[in-house]
Amino acid sequence: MKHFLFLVSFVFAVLFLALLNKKNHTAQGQTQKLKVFTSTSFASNFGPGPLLKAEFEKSCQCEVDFVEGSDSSIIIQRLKVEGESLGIDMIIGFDQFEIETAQKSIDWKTLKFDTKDFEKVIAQDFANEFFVPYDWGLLSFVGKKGLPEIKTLRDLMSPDFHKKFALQDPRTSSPGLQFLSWLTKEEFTLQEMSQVIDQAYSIAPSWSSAYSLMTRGQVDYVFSYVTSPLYHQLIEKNNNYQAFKLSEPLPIQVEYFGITEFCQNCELAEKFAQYLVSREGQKIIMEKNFMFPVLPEVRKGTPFDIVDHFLFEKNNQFKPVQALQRWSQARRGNFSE
Amino acid sequence: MINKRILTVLFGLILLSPFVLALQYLTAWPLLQVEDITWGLKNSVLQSFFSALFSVLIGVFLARALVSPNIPRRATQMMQSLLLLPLFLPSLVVCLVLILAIEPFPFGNLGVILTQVFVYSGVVAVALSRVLIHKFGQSGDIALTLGSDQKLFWLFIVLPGIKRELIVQFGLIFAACFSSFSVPLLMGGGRAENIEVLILDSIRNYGDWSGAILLTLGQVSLLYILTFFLQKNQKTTFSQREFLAHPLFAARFEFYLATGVLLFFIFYIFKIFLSILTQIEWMPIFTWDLIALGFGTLLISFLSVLMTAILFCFYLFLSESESLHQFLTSYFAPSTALGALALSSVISFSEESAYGVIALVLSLLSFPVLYKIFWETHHKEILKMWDLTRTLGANPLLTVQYVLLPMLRKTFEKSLLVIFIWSSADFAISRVVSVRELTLAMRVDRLLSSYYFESAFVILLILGIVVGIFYSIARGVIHVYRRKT
Repeated sequence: MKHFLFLVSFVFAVLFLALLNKKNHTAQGQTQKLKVFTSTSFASNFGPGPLLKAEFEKSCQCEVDFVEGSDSSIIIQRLKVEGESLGIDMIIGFDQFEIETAQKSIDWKTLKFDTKDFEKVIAQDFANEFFVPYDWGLLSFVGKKGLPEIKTLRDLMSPDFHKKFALQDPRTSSPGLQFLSWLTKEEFTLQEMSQVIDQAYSIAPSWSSAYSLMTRGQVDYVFSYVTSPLYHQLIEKNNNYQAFKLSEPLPIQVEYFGITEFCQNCELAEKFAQYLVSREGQKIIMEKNFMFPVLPEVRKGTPFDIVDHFLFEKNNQFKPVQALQRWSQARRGNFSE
Repeated sequence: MINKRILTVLFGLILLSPFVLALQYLTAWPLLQVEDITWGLKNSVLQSFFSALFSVLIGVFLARALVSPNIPRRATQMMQSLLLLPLFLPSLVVCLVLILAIEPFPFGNLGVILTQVFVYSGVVAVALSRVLIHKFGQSGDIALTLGSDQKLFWLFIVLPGIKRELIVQFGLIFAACFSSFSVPLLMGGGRAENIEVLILDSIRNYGDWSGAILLTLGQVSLLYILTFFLQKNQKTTFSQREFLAHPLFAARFEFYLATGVLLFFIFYIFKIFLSILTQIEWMPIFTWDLIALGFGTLLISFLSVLMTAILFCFYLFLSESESLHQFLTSYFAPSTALGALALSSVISFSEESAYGVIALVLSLLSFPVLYKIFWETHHKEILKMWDLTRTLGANPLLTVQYVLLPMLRKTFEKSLLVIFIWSSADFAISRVVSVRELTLAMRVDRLLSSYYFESAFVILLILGIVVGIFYSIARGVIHVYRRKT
């Protein structure tokens, strides 16, 4: 028993020391602390968060503290429920559909950013009073090179692609919602939508589970970002993947940041926001997030300069709640419009 | 003198707290559509009914193997552990193995049923094997003397004799599948959402807390009523003997078949890890913070074990209460997402104490499940002991300390081991409660949400090793302690 007690005491002592060390570290600098709520993938060591934080902290007497939520929708719900008590200054990572919900949930500061150097389509079609875009992506089907091409969205209903592609569930995944917006834009009827659902090998709960079905060879195609093959090319040195060009314009996902009305370090939040859309910040975001930067000059001459290969267009008519209800209806096999 | 009735109510409220606290968000009219509820309910019933039916059928088949006298005892014991393995492994691992092993995997209701049958038939087999030993140890002799063969004996004596237990097992598996979340989400393929998935959907997409709470209330009530009536049917006490030394129970074929399937499952787990290890050179896995995450995992696991131990001690003190037993056997904790969000939004906690809050949520949500798996079959033994000690005039606290705890030591240890494993593998509750990465399982989740799938599985392997080492140390310590005392 003594040994056991010794072991437990040892574990707790180490943890206590680690905690103490962490607290001292914060106290020594006496710096301002910017609390940024963001997604897990943004804040992780493999995402752009840590590098952005390190570079920004060099130029200010401050500390950027990333606070994570499981996903953007859960972040919105937490903000709605816990609000000011969370002490959040800034949010990074809502897409164009989520900012609508976020605006209804809590109050945001009006942001006046100079967007004249931004990608034209982003500055014109995706401007918002409270949120500023910091990266964007196009979504299409991704698969190994040499596979039969998916040429149009309606090819998904063909027997040739039966159970050969994976999608994301629009109710639990933001790429899934983008796919639904695409179907809506291309005026898929409930029956056609239902056919696509039946043809898919799986409608996975997240982008990661759908994508791993493709990398593990369970399916040939997956709905993903056109920049996904760049990850394999640049990190894994594997040039075997490609994003397919479809005849229909591809859906665009734009990611935004916003500053809460109850921010405690509002000025610092604005400075960090400026840094995110600076050339330096944009380069980090592009290379670590595998998304297009909002400043087009940053991607010029890099492997990310592939935007012109694809047709794309904003879906102005898309209403997520109604579209999700249609999706549920199609899934149930109820085709009455 | 402590009023046990008040304490029992308090204990019930503690267990119900995740749900009671969520009621504060019942502020608006729910946005739920009737068609969605009907669809979710239809899928829930369909999945639960067939999962329970096939789990019981396969469970009977496997139970035969477990009680067979012509199989070495050590082999059946090992098989018993293997049969329980899918239940105690994280759902993600079980789902991944099945997706890789069965190609093309039938995502949808069929996929959900297949996975749930795989997870639960082993538990049914273990429970039924105990019933078989208890009920038919002696009637087998009479049947053999009267010239019965194995087929007639099973058809006309054993199966009618365990009808009631089969119904109880069916009901319990039905209830467990009805409240299942991760399997329908992962294996439903977007086409088989049950009520639990609908609850998350209501909060996530529509911010409809009222709808989520009402759905949860409906689900918990339905399951409570179902299991309440089933428990009334359960009269059997389970035998602690290990096997039946009787030729009418010989079942070598079933044993080999079941062992084959289980080994195939284990083979696939290793196959996945081997394929990953061959790609290890480009993976940015080993960062220093892994050590802190390892400690975080252990801290949450230890705290969960501690809190669960306290809850079980509290339960033992109140275990005379028939209504508490009925409550615990019938109550299924509500949706994990709803419970965790409700608890974490009410308890004001600093970042450091998030470890404790996660452990609290895990313990409260797991307690009813652990009770059903390990404790409910001991209820009658416990009541007998209370009668005896009361007659002898013993103090209730001393009864718990010196009679009940030593008597149920193995059950206690098993429950704590399972909560240790579950909490070390949890990322769903941790993610909802904490805004920081605290554990290895959360790192796995984080890696999965970017492109680093292989790295995620290596971390999962490390997690398994860490848990395994600490489990072995704990077992060793307990062993030494027992020998010394």
